[in-house]
Amino acid sequence: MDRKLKEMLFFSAFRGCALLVVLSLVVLMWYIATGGLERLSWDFLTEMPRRANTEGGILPAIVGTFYLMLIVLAVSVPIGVMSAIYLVEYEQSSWMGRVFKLAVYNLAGVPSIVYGLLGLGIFVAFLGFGFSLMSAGLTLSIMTLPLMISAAREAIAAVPQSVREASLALGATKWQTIWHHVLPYALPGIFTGIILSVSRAAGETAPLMLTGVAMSLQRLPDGFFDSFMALPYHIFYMATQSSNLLATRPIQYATALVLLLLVLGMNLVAIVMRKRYRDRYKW
Amino acid sequence: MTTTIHTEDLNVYFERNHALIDVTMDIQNNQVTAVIGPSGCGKSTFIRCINRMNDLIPGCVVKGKVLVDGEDVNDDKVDVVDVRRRIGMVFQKPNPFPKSIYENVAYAPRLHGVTEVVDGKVRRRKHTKKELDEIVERSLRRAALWEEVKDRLDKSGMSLSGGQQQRLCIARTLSIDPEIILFDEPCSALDPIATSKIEDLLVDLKKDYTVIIVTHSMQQAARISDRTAFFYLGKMIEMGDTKQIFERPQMELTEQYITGRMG
Amino acid sequence: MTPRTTFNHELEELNKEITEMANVAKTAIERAVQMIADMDLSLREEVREMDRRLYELNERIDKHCLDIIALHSPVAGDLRLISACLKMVEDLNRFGRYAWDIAQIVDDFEEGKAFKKFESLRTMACLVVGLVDDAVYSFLQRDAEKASHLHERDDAVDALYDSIFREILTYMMEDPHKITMGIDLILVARYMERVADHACNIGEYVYHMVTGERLDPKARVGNVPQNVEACDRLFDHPCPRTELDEK
Repeated sequence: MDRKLKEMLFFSAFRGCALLVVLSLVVLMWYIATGGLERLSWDFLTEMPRRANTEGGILPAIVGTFYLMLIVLAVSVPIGVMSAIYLVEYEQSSWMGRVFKLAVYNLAGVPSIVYGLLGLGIFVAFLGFGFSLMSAGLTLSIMTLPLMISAAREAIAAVPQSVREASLALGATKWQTIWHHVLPYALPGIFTGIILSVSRAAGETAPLMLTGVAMSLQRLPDGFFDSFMALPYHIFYMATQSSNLLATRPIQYATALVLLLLVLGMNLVAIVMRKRYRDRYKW
Repeated sequence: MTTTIHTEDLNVYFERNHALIDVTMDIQNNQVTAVIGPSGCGKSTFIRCINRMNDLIPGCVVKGKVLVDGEDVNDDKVDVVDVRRRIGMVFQKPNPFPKSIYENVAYAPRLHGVTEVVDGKVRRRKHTKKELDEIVERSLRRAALWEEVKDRLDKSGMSLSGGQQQRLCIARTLSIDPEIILFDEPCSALDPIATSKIEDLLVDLKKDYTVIIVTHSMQQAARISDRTAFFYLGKMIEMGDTKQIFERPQMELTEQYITGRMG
Repeated sequence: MTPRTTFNHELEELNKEITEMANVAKTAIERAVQMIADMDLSLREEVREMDRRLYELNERIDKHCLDIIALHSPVAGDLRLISACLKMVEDLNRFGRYAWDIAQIVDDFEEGKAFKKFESLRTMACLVVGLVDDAVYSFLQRDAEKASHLHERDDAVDALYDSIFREILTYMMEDPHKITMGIDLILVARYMERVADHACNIGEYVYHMVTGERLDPKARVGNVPQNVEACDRLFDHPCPRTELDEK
């Protein structure tokens, strides 16, 4: 075949694949937006659901998902970052380090429903948190931990060794080196990890079903040990369990739209922060 | 001329690799000592023993003595942080922190604070802004960089050219006033003009510091050093006055290497 | 900060040393000639002292040049300078030897004998000193033009040597008692002729050092007739030494 033609062909194939990604996002957004926009209103966002969710708003679900994200942030980020530091800075090539890495990779591959079972067993039953925000949040945290760890690990490992050497050679201790140099320079990468893991947590349904999500609540959760509603489960419920599936379709779409916007909003915040840090530490 | 550094039967192992074999040598005060040798001959490993940078490498074992002013840096009682404060190091690739020029130089003084004796008690406090400014200016001047950067101290250290970055790194090392400065191939990433500036600086620095430089360029060793040590396959083959090494080396291997006839 | 401070410093040092050596060598020849011309034996010790000094400087500069080559890898103009210095020290050292030899011969003379009248030898001395002066001057001033003309005057010195040789031969044939002294005088003339040759060599090195080109060898065979009275002119030009001392 003609070399030039071949070149063209492959280039087009690559570009086509890349465009496919953009296209699917656009279609998805459009599909959901057209379906849900009519139902979306201020009341929809701020009111309690009524009449088995077929009327009224989705406030408890929004709040529930928001709380879940908070718990995941509070638990999985520090644990993930600290584990990543331990992995990169202290156990880079030791036997321990390899076992640890293997564990992380395997955890990442475990299906989410299995995490749900784990949460049910440990948090709900064994630790006695009951069907609650706390049980669900911790379960999601554990589930997103591998994501968090590998993102943070990559970010930390990407900080050039020369920076560490420079700091250590000036008489800084290992901890000072990590705190003053490694972590700040790795922050953009860590933010990427946060975006990924929190988004994943926000969209997860299966583990919630086993750890305390409610079909419908007329009130907001009154604490971390109360049961709660969540956006993805709400969609699932409306799309499969509702008495009149067709009539509630706009609600499903609108809820999906809210979920998407919530996640995108979180991402936006993280992206802005990442940008700020990246500018501050320009390589 | 007093001896500042004395190593005795220094051996370094990386896992099963015997990287440095029985190195015994003296390095003198206020001189530039160059360490030359082909790649992988252990010259970097050698100077990294002096400020214990080899500690960072997993599986690295150092045996033997490295006496700095009579004190063994590998002694259990010796704090590695103190060792590295007294023995500064400048690396092959310029590695300024991705911070402002000012912050680069002020980092180490800030880290260590001021130790002073008040009423017979040793006390540590932070530098005042004025003291820091002075340290930054003095260090940058000493590294012959002040005139070039004095108007943009708040700009990132990464915005400088390679040679300037390397001088910034030297200024950063000078900021805590070490006694000995180790240079690990400081010019290998620089162009000739930047290189000759650094070389001049090194010669100038020996008035106040003891300078040890590892270099793969024997011309560089010839140009700037007072004494030269030749390493080959982990052993120190020969050490002597630079003139002697380059005009009448005693060992066959040294001659082969400096004349470029080594296989 | 000009780059390569150490190297520049070394070159300056070398320049100082070679300047000193050139001046000492020139003075040595001048003193030796003066001894002959005025039969001033008091200068003998001074000449010997200068010879020793030249020998020292020869050693030192030789070593210094090798150090610079070994440590600083000079190229281009720097390399030519070093090469010129290395060769020049040999010639300058010869100046010292010949001055010493002349002093040695004068030693054998009986005080104040006869040769004050020996005009052609004095003329030759004038020419040779002028030549040495100019050779040293052309080096210190990096004056290729002057350096390239030294050969022409060397030919005059050679011619003068021939006539002195014949003249003294005649004296010796007339009176066998004068043979010892005659031979001594011929030797003095011979030494001075050699000095002139070495001065010409220096001219060649200087020419190469400044221009990077070899002096045309044809210049050596050319037999340019020289006016002996040029001697006056040679001493006329301002003494370079004072200028150089200031430098």
